[in-house]
Amino acid sequence: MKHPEREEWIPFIFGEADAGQKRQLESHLDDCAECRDEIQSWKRSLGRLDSWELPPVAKKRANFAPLVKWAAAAAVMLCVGFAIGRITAAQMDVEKVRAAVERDLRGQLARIARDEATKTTSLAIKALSEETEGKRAADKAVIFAVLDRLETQHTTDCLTLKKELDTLAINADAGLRQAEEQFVQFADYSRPVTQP
Amino acid sequence: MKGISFPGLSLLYSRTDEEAMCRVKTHDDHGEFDRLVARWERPIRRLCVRMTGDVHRGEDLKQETFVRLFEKRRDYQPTGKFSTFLWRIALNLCYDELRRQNRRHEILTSGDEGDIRDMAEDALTPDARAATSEEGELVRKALMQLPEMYRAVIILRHYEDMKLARIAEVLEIPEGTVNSRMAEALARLSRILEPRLKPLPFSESKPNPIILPKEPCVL
Repeated sequence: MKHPEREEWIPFIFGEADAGQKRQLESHLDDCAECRDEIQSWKRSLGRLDSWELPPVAKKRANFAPLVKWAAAAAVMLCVGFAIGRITAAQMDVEKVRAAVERDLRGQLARIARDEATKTTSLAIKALSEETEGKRAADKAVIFAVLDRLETQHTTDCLTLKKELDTLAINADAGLRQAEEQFVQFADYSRPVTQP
Repeated sequence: MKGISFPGLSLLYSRTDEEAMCRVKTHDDHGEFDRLVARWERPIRRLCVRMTGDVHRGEDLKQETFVRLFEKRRDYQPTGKFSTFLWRIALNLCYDELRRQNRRHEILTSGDEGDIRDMAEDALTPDARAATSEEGELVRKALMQLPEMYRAVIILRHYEDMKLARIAEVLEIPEGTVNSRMAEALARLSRILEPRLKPLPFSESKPNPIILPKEPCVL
């Protein structure tokens, strides 16, 4: 019996063979125990592949137990060291350290206070100058307005005065001329007719 | 909130892998790259773990694959499928790693014919070993005994559910070669997994053609 080539079984096994191939191979399987055994064993092997499951993606979970142990050891060592330090250190040292720290702290505090004060002052000055500037501008505007009004008044007054003066001058002129005429008339009347 | 997701909906507004990769190529778009990693890290992890038979090495190779992907972003041709590009990078890294591993093993054993599966076994942590079923462990060892080109076709077809034609495309070999490699792989696998298997009719009538591994393509 002529067996199909081994690779011909592959599309068949994976369900990718076309209908003709499938029919042909199936009929061969019906007749050939050897091939049947082999293909069945291949399928069994494929079926077993799924039992190899991959572990899920490992969550980065820290193992705390050793960490805690080491932390405890470190804490104990620290306490022991501190105690030894406390016992052996002279009281003088503490005083000295305190003095030094105090001096240092005072210096720092003073610097901070100075800086703060400078900052506050400069801010206040700035605010004040801004305010003054505003006030001055307002005053200037008022003064200008008053000056303007005064000038207008002045001009009006001058004009009125001039007109009145003109009227007065004309009236005076007319009066004078009338007086002169009357004078002449009077002179005519009063002249004696003594002349021959 | 996290439990609710609408994969169908997200497809509407998300880019295809090819578009995303083009963005990465031309704009170094890190956001799109992150999305590609999120979409593909699980399949790539599975491939790398199964190719090396080692969870930790597989994880490392997965990371390396995405590093390499970013490095090679300018080589990506928009006409090609993104997944093909990615699978090839991952497979080549796996081949490199396995070759390195074999060399190391040869040096260590210096001619002693101890087999590689012991190494893979050592790589399992006790936790992982406990979690793996006995049967699963048997399968893993059997696959690790196969030459890598046979292992690759089995993994891609069975675990990644790729069609034979697609495997041919990814491996850049003719489909006939995929089929013959697969046949050889299944025959060897059955011989390992079924110790009481009768002598194979085909292997007696004619010796199996020895298919030399093609040098994995360097992209």
